[in-house]
Amino acid sequence: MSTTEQADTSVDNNTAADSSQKTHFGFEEVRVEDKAERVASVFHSVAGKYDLMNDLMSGGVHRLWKRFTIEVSGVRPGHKVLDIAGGTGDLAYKFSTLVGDTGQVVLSDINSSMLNVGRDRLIDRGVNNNVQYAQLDAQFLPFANDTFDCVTIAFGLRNVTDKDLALRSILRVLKPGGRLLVLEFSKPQNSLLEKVYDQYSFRLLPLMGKLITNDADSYRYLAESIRMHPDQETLKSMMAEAGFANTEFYNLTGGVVALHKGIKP
Amino acid sequence: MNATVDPSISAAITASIESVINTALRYDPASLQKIAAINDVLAIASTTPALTLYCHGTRDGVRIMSHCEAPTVTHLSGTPLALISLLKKPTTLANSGVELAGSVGLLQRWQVILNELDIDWEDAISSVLGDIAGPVAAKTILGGLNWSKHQGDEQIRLFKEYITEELKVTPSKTELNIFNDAVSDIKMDAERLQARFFQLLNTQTKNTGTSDKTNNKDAV
Repeated sequence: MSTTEQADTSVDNNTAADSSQKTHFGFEEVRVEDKAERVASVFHSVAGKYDLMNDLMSGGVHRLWKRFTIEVSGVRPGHKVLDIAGGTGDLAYKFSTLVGDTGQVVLSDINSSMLNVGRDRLIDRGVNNNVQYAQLDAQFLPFANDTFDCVTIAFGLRNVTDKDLALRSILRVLKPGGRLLVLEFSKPQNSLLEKVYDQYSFRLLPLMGKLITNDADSYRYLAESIRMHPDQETLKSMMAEAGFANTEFYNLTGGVVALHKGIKP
Repeated sequence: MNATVDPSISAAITASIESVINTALRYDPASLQKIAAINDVLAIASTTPALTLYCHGTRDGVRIMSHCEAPTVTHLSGTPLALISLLKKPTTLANSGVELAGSVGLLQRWQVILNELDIDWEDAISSVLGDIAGPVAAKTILGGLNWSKHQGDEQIRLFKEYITEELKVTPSKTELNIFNDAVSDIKMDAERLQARFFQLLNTQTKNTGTSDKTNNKDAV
């Protein structure tokens, strides 16, 4: 899960007289300016037990999804990598071992609680020479053009308010030939799996959240925000429209999760 | 790339294999050092099931992947049994059932490492059982494995002798060689006979041709 705090920029035409923009917070419609705070509170709440809940909710499978993401990244020694919505540093740690002493990894997140947990974890694991930390908004990346060889965003794009803006911002900071990897929950490709997944998401996840973190609402938001996220083909089109070339995706675990890849031309 | 296997499953397979190998390699620092120097990618493709694994060395051991963006230097393909037997007897690819494409040098580097692998199993077992029970258990386990292997080889040898010498169901190697030699002799004799026949035929043809010319000359 990621922690960007912007609202979708969709405008509610029925309330044109009221010019405030509305966005989705899970299944709920909220004002754009309210969503940021709502998302922030979710991730401030879950930061402490984020890794434990990831393991419990996915049965440890999230580690396999991230492992595949690392393989597709093609990152090698000397590369510069930006991990957006990096949360507690799973991907950043692996990248730091791959880029070596001549490379650089920037672990970033908009939520300070998540970033602090990630920084503490990496320091505890002895990573301190090629990783930097940055609190930032994916829509307005504070880096120069053509900086990074690879940008990853794992389980974070669905929380971004303006995904197009974020994709264009990422395109700008990538070097020509650099790649973007978006790992995100998506639409299962099998109808039976989809039914099972729905039951699991909307019944079991909030219950687990309540039992372990005493916060059922945050994990209900997780399930709802997944359903509001674009499906595989839609996201692929969005990346192409943003300017990425050779866009493609891989369905993982029957499409429960998808890894999208795009190259900056 | 493994197009038909869900990446989650292939990632689970590679993670398991990598973990086992690198755990064992921790007890052979010399091999670990050699492996760290191998940056080129070796692809190992199993035909059934269709699965390709990519590997190269890192300072922490072998990295095994189900998807690789880097170019592959050497590509091996074959059935799982053929590929595993190549690991057991890494001497030649001839009649091994394994096809190779690309650099042989990279494969040879891996074969040298496999041949010189020296995992300190006693240390590995001691790390689990302790410094007192560990060496005793290691000696017992390794001794048992060596005995089993010896017994297995012996049983195969005895079985071969039984079916050739006792049951006489199949000829022995010596009898087969004698038979093959006899067949080769017959074949060579037949070829010689054929050559002599054609030689005689050519000679007769020439004589007939010369005789015709003489008769024609006399007629003129």
